[in-house]
Parts: sequence; structure tokens; C-alpha cells
Amino acid sequence: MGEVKNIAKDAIEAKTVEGVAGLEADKYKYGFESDIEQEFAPKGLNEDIVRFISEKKNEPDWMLKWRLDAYARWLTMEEPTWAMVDYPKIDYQDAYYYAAPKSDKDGPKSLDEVDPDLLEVYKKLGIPLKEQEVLAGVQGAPRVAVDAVFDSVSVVTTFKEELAKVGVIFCPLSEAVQKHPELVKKYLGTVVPPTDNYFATLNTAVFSEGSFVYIPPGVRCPMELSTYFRMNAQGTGQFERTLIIADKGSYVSYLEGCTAPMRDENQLHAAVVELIVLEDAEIKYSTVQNWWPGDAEGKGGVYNFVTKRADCRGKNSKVSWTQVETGSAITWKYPSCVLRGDGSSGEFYSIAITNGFQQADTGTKMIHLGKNTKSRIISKGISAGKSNQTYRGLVSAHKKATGARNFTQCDSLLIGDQCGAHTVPYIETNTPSAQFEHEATTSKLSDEQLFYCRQRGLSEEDAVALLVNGFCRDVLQKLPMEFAVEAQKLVAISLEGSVG
Amino acid sequence: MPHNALIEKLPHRRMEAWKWTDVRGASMSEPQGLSAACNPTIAAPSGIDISTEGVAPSENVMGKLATTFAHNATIITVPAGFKSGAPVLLSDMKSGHARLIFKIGKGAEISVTETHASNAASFVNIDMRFDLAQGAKLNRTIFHNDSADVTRISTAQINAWADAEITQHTLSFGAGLTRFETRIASLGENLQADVHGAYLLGENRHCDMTSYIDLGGENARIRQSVKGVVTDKARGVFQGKFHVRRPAQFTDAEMRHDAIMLSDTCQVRAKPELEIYADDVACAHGNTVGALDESALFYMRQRGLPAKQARALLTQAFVAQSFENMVDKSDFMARITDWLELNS
Repeated sequence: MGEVKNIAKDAIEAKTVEGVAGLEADKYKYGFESDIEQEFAPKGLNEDIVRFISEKKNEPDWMLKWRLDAYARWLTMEEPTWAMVDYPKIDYQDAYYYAAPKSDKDGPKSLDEVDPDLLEVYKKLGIPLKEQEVLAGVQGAPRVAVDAVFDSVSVVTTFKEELAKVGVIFCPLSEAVQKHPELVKKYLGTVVPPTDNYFATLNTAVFSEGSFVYIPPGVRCPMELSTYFRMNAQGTGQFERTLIIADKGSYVSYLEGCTAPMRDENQLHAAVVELIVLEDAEIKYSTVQNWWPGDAEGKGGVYNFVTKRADCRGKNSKVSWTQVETGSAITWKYPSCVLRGDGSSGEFYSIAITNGFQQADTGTKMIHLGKNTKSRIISKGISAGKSNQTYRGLVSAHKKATGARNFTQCDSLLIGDQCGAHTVPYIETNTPSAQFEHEATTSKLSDEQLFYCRQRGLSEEDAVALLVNGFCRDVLQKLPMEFAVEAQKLVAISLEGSVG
Repeated sequence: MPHNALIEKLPHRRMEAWKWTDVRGASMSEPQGLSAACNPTIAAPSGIDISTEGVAPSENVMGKLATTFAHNATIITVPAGFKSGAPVLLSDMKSGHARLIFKIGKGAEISVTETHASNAASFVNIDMRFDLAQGAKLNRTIFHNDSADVTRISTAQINAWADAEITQHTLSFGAGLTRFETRIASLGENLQADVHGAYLLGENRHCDMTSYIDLGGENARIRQSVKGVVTDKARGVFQGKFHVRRPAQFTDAEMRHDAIMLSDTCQVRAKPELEIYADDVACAHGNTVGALDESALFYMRQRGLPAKQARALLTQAFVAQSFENMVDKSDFMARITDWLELNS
């Protein structure tokens, strides 16, 4: 075991060095655009577009009604302004709400039918999880199930059969609507209701793709599930929706990684993720988000307005959110846990790095409703360049949440004197037996440590990357191996040009 | 002003800064003093000048309201270099709106002792401003003890030039609705501020300690510690914010709020905020909420202390931390002891 660990560790180190060294020339290596024919819904948003999307997906009437209700509600809502982010007003009528690769018309039945251009895209992405091999059907490819979302339609879902053997359902949400309507009907929108907030309501009306996962009772999902979201068509907002249900005593680890091609216009991304955890079950949800942050002048970049929430419904259920946020021009994201079941626990581990003109307002909510519920929040924020970031979190205990425990630590690091780091925690307690602790610090990189590293021959940039990686260690350790490698690289990449 | 129009102007829970302190909700029944002026009694050592003047209203919502009903402000001028062992005493703030402005000259040192107390149902809104010239020192002591049906908002804007020193100790036993808001703006270097307080709340009482410390000069040193004890159906609120602007390098600031809940029906709300734009700073905040330490209680009971006395002793030690550096804390400590006698 020790040897395996060492090999893995060496691999990480080698890749980190490689990542730092190899980036001079290619600042945003995922910044390209592929020319696959797209089928667009007309620009703009109205009831007809909602109907169009629903029809494209061949959805049943109840689903269409659900969407239309959400759309009607959305029209009455106002865009929230409380977050500490500043961006020009979004013209919701000036975007496409549906784009699908044309080749999807007949639905690819095997890899041979997949548009070769699409495969080329995967190649260009230099996908770390060897999806290349998986997609090419190579024997002995790593056991990671990939549901690749290409713009708005799921193109290929692999490993389905193997998962089906143990009863795990892992498929595009649109397929689940057709094949497992009872599960979708029972759970969709029960964690993030259609009326939840402006962006979630918009998503409910126009979401076009996403993943659906159901883990049956007592099953430990035999592999890590992974979805790559990559936005591609110019001016297309991506509204995906993920629904994961872990039935009694089950376990699943879900990985979500994102990169988006470089472009000029701001792209709107309003996703909804719902996790439902029943008795004794556990979901581990990891995200690496590396969407285009905009150029050196702060032009362009992705607007990332995401609603993620987990509902720990059963006794002793557990949810763990881990996120590495390095991309997007604007981030507005608060993965939350509703700790309903007695003894349930929630964790939130986050690294947020902002550079250039990026703005991030991110954090979590831990809502303690059940007895003896536990939560832990570790948030590491690093601001560089002219960026601003805010940790915004809520920890609350209901009157009945006796014995609730929370520990929160949010540390911020400032690199350079043109950036900002902010902390806005909310603590609400209604029971004396809840014990809540919150600690936060803000500081700059220690000159002593920098000096020590430089003295030993590291360049300033390498030294900063090393120290920041150390600062984030608590969180990086919580990531699954594949992500830890990518995340360490990202930490270094994101801070490039922030010193000297 | 008719009551309906006035109610519209009051801050309410849909406003972010007032989400836990709903002044509008508490004033629906038109309490006494809601549209009247208040004339506090001011006792000042000789050498200090007191006058009234029409000056522009404060920026904040309660300050504007105070200007509507109190019109002119009372100006208390402390000349440059002034030093006195005797404090300025402020009292009789029982009902209505008042505006007070302290102008503290270069290098002057002054203590201000405020007693906020009313034993009849009323609405009180005290809007204060302290202008500290270079090197001025302000030592503010605030004691608050209202009957449970009073609504009291007290806002102090403290503007400090270079080398100013501010010490503030607040002890509140709450009221129907209370907010003590301290806003410090540093306009120069080397600000030293110690802003401490404690609230002990029983019955249906509510107390909100809000602070906003806005740093614009280098080398500020801030220490803030607020302790809360709540029981019965009371609600304690703490909102603190350090705003460190880009020029405020080398700031060293610490904020703490700790609260103890003694009943199953009380509530605590806290929001310790940092907004930081300068990179060479050390800022921290901490917040804890929980019950009394069972093992410490057990230890004391094992040694023969009755439960009630053990609880009181532990609570007192906890609250006393906020007043550690107070020059004369005997009065505060005696009042805390009295409260604990009744409430542990």
C-alpha cells in the first residue's frame, strides 16, 4: 500500500512540476473552439422556447408543465444583487437556450457513430481521466464512468452495463425521464424547488441536459462517476441539472470537471445539482471548475451561477462537497447541506482561486435540523491580481437540532495589493446544545517562507505555487486521486503572473 | 408625520443590515417617543463647551430620522490638549430622538459615560457622532438597562484622525428591541481601538451589538471582543465588520464573539464579517456559540458548589473577559453578579 502511495505521490509531484513549467506558452490550454454543426433553438427566451426544449427531449406532459410553471414564476422574480460581485446586466433574450450537436439526431449507438470532430475535441482537451481510451473502447481503460456532456446533449455514456449489473442507474437526465419516470417524479425538484431562487428557477424552465444517478440500497458504486461539462457553442448558456439519489446504505463518489473554450462573449451558466441521501448512505461530490475566466483586461469569461444542495434525509447519512474553483469570470455558488436525518453529517471543502479580474462569491450552508448532526467547513480562498472573492456561509441550528456540532475555518490569502478577500459568515442558533465554532484569518504569503524557498533555488512563481499548495493542503487531500493531480496543476496555473 | 408614513421609514428585517433587528415590526403600535425629541442630561467637567447647532443629518437611516424629530444637534466641544479625571456623563435618554456631537480636539483625552435606561414603554433613538482630532483619546463606557418593553437604537459614528485611541466598553441587559451600533472610520494612521462589550439577556429581551470598523490609514490595531449570555426566550445578535481599505496596510485586527445559551428557547445570531483589500495585514475573527461547559460544571459541583452557584461563577468568568482591561470595572461586575443571581 505504501509503495502505491509513493508512486501516486511521485506522479503528482512530477505532474505539478510539469504543469507549472509547461504553462508559459499555453495559458489556457482548453481555449479552442471546435466546428461541429449545431442545432440551435432560436435566440431568446419565451414560452415557445421552453416548449421547444421539452419537445426536443420528447418529455412527458408533467415535465413540460413543470417547466412552464417555473418559467411563469421566473418572470415575476428579480435577479439577486446581494452577492459581492459586479457585472453588466445580463440580457436573457440575447442568448441561445438550446444547442445540440447535429449528429445527435439519430442518437449514437456506438462510438463509430460519434462525429469524428467530437472525438477530436476530446483529444484536444487532453482529458486526464483517459476518457480518450474509454471513448475509443480500449481494453483495460480505467474504471471511471463518463457521461460526457457536450454542450447540452449527452453524447456517450460508458460503463452503463457494468453499472447496471449492480443496479446503479447512471444516465442523462432526459433518458431517466423516459425510463425511470417514477424516480424522477419522486425526487426531481424536492431539494431545490422550482421557486428556490432566480437562477434555479431559470434552470428549471430551460435545462436541457444533466446526469441522473440512482444507487440502490446497500450498493457501493463500483467506480467513481464522472461527468465533464464543456461549453462549446458561442453564446450558449448551459443549463444542466444533476440529480443523484443514494438509497439506504449506499455509497457513491461523483466527480465533476469543467473546462470551456475561450471566447469573447460572456457565457451564462446556471446549473442545479440535487443530492438526496437516505439512511446510512453517503455521497461524495467533487468539482474542479476551470471555465474561462476572461482575458487579461477582464473581458469575457463565464458567469457561473450555480445552485447545489444536498438533502440528508436519512439517519446517519453523509454528504461531502469538495470543490476547486479556479475559473469563471463570476462565480455565485453555495453547495449546501440540509441535515435532516438524526446523526447526519455534511462536509464542505473548498479552494477558490481568483486572479485577473475574476470575482467569486462562494461558500456553503449547513442547516442542522436533526439531532446530533455534524458539519465541517474548510474554505481556503486565494486572491491575486485585481480579483475579489467572498466566502459567504450560513450555519444554522433548528430548535430540535440538539447536539449539533459545527466547525468552520475559512482562511484567505492575498497576493498583491490590488485584490480583495472577504468573509461573510452567518451563524444562527436556536438550541443551547448546539456547539458552533467559526474561525477565519486573512493574511498574505509569509515573506520568510518565500525567502526560504527562493534561497533554495526555486523561482518566485514556483515558490508561490508551492506555498499555496501547502496552504490548500487540507482540501486537496480530500479530493479523489484523479482530481488531486488536476487540482494541484490548476492551483499553479491559476496564479501564474500574479507575482513579480 | 402620520404613523403610517413614519413606519415606512423605519428599518425592517428585509434590509440586510437589520434582518435580525426589526425596528418596524416593534413600532407598529406607535410607542411613546416615536415622533418626539429627547433632551439628555449632560454633566461635563469645566472647560468643556456645550451648545446646539443645526448640522447636516447622519447618513444612516436612524440618523436621518433623528434629524427629523430632534432638529438641532447638541455639540459638546472638548478643547485641544484637554485632560480631566472626571467623565462627561450622559443620562435621561428615556424617550424620543436625540442628536449629540462630540468634537474632541488635538491630543485631548476624555471619558464619556452613558446610561441608557428607561422604566416605561417607549421608543428611543440616540444618534451620536464623535470627531477625534489627531492624537485624541476617547474612553466610552455604555451601560444599558431598560424595561422589557422599550425599543432603543443607539448609533455612534466615531471619526478618528491619525494617532487616535478609542476604548469602548458596553454592558447591556437588553430591552424589547435594542441595537447599539458603533461605526468607526479611521482617517489617519496608527488608530488604536479596543471595542468590547457584553450582553446578558433574559425574558423576551433582544440586544443587537453591531459594529462597522472602516480602516483607511496604515498601522491600525483593533481588538474587539463581545460576550453574550442568553436565557429564557431572549435573542442576542452580533454583527461585526472590519473593512480594510487598500491604503490600510499593516492592519492588525481581531474580532471575537462568543455566546452562551442557558435555555432551550433562546436564540443567538452572529455575522462576523471581513472585507479586506490590503494585502499586508493580519485580520482574524472568531465566533463560538454553545452551552456552558458540562465538565467544568461537574468539576465545581464535585467540589461542593451548588449547581446554581457553579453556573453563575462560570458565566461571570466568561463575561468578565470582555472587561479585562477596563480601568474601573467594579460597577459593571456588580451588576453582572446581580443579574446572574436572578438568572442562573
